[in-house]
Amino acid sequence: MIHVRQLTKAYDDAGSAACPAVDRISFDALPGQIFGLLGPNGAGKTTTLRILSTILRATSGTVVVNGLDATVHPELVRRQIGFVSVNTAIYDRMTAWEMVHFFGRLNQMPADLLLPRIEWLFERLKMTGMRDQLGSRMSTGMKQKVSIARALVHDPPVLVFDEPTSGLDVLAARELFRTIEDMKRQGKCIVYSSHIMSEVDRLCDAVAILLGGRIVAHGSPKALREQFAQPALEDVFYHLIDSAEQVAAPETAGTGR
Amino acid sequence: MNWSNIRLIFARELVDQMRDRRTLFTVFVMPLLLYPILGALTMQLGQFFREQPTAVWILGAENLPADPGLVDGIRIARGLVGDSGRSLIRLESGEPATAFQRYQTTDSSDGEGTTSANLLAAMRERGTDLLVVIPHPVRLEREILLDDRPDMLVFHDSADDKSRIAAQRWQFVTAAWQQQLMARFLGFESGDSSAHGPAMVSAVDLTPAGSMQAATWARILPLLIMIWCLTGAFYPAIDLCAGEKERGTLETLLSSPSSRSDIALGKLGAVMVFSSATAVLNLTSLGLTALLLLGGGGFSPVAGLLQGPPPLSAIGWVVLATIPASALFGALSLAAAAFARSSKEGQYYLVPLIMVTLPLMIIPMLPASRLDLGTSLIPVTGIMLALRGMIEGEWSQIAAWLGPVVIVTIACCAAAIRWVVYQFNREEILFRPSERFALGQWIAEYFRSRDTGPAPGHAIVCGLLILLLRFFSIGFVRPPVDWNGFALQTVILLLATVCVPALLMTVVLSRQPLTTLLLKGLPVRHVVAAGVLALCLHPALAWFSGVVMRLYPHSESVNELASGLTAIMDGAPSLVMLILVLAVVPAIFEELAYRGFVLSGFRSMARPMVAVVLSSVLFAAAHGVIQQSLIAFVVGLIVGVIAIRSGSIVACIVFHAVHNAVAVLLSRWDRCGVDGLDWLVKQSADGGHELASLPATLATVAGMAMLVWMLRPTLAKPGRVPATGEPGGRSSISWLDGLRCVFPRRQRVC
Repeated sequence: MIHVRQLTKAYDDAGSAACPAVDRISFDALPGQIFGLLGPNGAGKTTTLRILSTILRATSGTVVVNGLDATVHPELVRRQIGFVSVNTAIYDRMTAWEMVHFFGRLNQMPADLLLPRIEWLFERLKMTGMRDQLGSRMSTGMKQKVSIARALVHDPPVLVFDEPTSGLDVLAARELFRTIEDMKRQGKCIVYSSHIMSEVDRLCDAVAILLGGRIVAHGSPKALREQFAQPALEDVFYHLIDSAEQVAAPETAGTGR
Repeated sequence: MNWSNIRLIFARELVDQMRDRRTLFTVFVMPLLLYPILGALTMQLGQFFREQPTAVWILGAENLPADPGLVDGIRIARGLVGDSGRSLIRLESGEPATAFQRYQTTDSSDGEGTTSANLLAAMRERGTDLLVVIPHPVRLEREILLDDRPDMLVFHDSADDKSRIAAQRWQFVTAAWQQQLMARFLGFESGDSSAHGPAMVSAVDLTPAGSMQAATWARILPLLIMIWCLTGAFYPAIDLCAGEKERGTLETLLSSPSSRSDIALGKLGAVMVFSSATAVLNLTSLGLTALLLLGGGGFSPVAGLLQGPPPLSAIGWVVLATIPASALFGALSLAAAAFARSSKEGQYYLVPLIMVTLPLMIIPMLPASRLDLGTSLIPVTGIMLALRGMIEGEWSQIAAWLGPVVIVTIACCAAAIRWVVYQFNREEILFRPSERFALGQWIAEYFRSRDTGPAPGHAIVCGLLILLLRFFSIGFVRPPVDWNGFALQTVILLLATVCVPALLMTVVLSRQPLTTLLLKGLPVRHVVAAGVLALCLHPALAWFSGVVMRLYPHSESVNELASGLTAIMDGAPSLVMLILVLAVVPAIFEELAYRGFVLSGFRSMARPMVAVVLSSVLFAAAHGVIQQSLIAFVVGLIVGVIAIRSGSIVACIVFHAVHNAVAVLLSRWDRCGVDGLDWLVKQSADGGHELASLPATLATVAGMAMLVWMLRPTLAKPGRVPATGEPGGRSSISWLDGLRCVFPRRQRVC
């Protein structure tokens, strides 16, 4: 469903070429699977997801979504994707219903399909009580729900979640996980980014751990635990961080810095 | 009150603002640039203050006394006004006074109105601004002064600027003439030129009822509409672009299947609605207020000024004009807002936007400014003049130029929207936070990380620096009086204001000054080819220069300056010295600055042709007179292409010098004493010299062919100019490959 090959992204800043935000990463995410991108802040998760969503352009490498090259057909690729960004980004002066309806129309959904779809989504995500609430008056959890409804409204085959539990309480987060698992059961391809290990360990079928823009480990959570002989994915992550620091230390000493 | 906390908060806020580079620019750098740039713009604008000649139609010139005379053929008699004043009044005085009867109507119920309409129609048909009728021989005897029959009837249309100016000029002339009459025949001298003289002059206003009212509002409403549309567009645009970036909703929108241009156009539509609504609601409020003020029996001081409320037709045209005006200002505001990272930063861009558009709004306010091909090609100005013509009902004058106005407005909107789409694709604008700025760190970083060549920002700074130095030099330098002074001043000014800044910036900002300035030798054949290209393209450039001069003629002051310079150049010891000072020296200094430093700076980021265009814009801006700027822009484009193709400043200097030298040579052709070259050079319509038709045509075809050939292959991709000896720094195409060898394809860039 999603095929990423040798994806590299370097920003135009001076000196960035030496340390690109994303450095030759490759992975595949399949239908009915939740693919996790795990990494600390600044690892390149958001950059990767923005490239998948065609908001950013890759410096090199290829991204194919549902058979469509993201560089060649960015608008068609965006039709295949529902993107929930790290910031919930809700229009302050639009109601929940208006916001979801607006994005449904942007996705060219006919009115006879759109209205029942929104009704279903509001029912499914328990949003009926906030239907006419303005964005400026919503709590973070409410905004996140609207954001998810907005991403799901056109029923895309691919869903991209960028740190969706950021700012959510545990109940709202549990509700979100149930929704994502439900989407998985419907056969959607889901890419889920987070720096919270327990979330990824519990939710994802396959994981890529990013450090400094590179994939340092790749596989199912169980396989990674076994590979690095650690009891939890979180321990795998710490182990990889420690290894990376040990590699970097002699180099830094050698340069006199 | 805790002073420690106040001081802490004060320090934090101050440091916070000081770390924002764009705030620093707006607060500290903008004022330093603002007024010199406004001054330079005023100088450019001064070209449009040119006084237009007035056409006066005289019936009954035979009734004027021969001495002191009032007319002398098609000019005012000498001695009444100065030479420049005489040149501003053109007379048509062949017909007798009896011809006036043709336009008089006596059998109509509204005979006076019909006569006025006839006279106005006749004046417009003949293209005259004023009609003067001398119905009988001018009476000079003292006792006739008691007779109140006028000796001269002066018909004008006060709703028409040109006619009103013509009436003022004629009044000035006749007052001087009357004084001469009094001195001659009555023995009466008066210091008051307006004293009533023996030849009684009666002024008649032919303005139809309602026209004056329309003319008054026609001057006010276009300016108001532009200001309303600009202010109505700016703040929504800031909210819809910069505000959305701040709130993060722009990213959400960009992740939808809509294309960037769809998003930009949708936002433009919304901004246009707000802009138009602002204008229409202000107009409605103004109209109602005017009705209230003017409906009270004319007691208000504005009653006499405005002649009544705006006519209904005027309101209709104004509402129609809000569409192009709001589209233009909406697109410009979106362009500014799309560049901003935050709403706060967006607010700062209002001042530059006003700076750019205000001069364009002033041009239509100038006396006798009207819609023609030249003004219709100026954004904002064209819309205002078209609206003015519509309100005044001058359809015959504006109809032909509405097309160019619409095309220019659409082109500006399209360019602005394209810029918005470009900004929506710029990652550093969409996702990066505002930069922090610390002067010390910045300088240290600058020197530490300076590149092999300059950056686009350096190129812009260099262009602005040259512009400002040239502007200030005008105030400090006295006009030369002889050739030696002129030559010395020209060389020193070019060196100090153009060459030295560029060289200094090259040394400071570039690790490879020779590469930056394209200081590289060229084979002799390439040098010769550059000269031949300049010769071949000269007729085409001269033709373009003629077109520019017809569209935007020089003002009287510029003409006087030019004639003064011509007199100084007559004192040049030889043609060689003249070419050296006017052609070779400017070519060397300007090319080092613009095709050396500035073009290299733009090439480091932009596509080569974009870099050429940008460097040409700065090159054009440095030429103080707008007509020269337009011509310099085109020359800059050609030399820029040569620079990229040849990779050497030598070819650029040769082209520039030969181009200038040919212009100097042709302007001094009479003094060259060359005979037997009539097949090559002929006299031009303006009294100068130009290439004869056949050689000019052949040269143009050859020049264009060379130019097309140079442009045909894809130019190099963006990136740094390669260093000397770097792979791709030089191609090795021979003459056998055709003309392309003349300017070898330059250069893969890294």
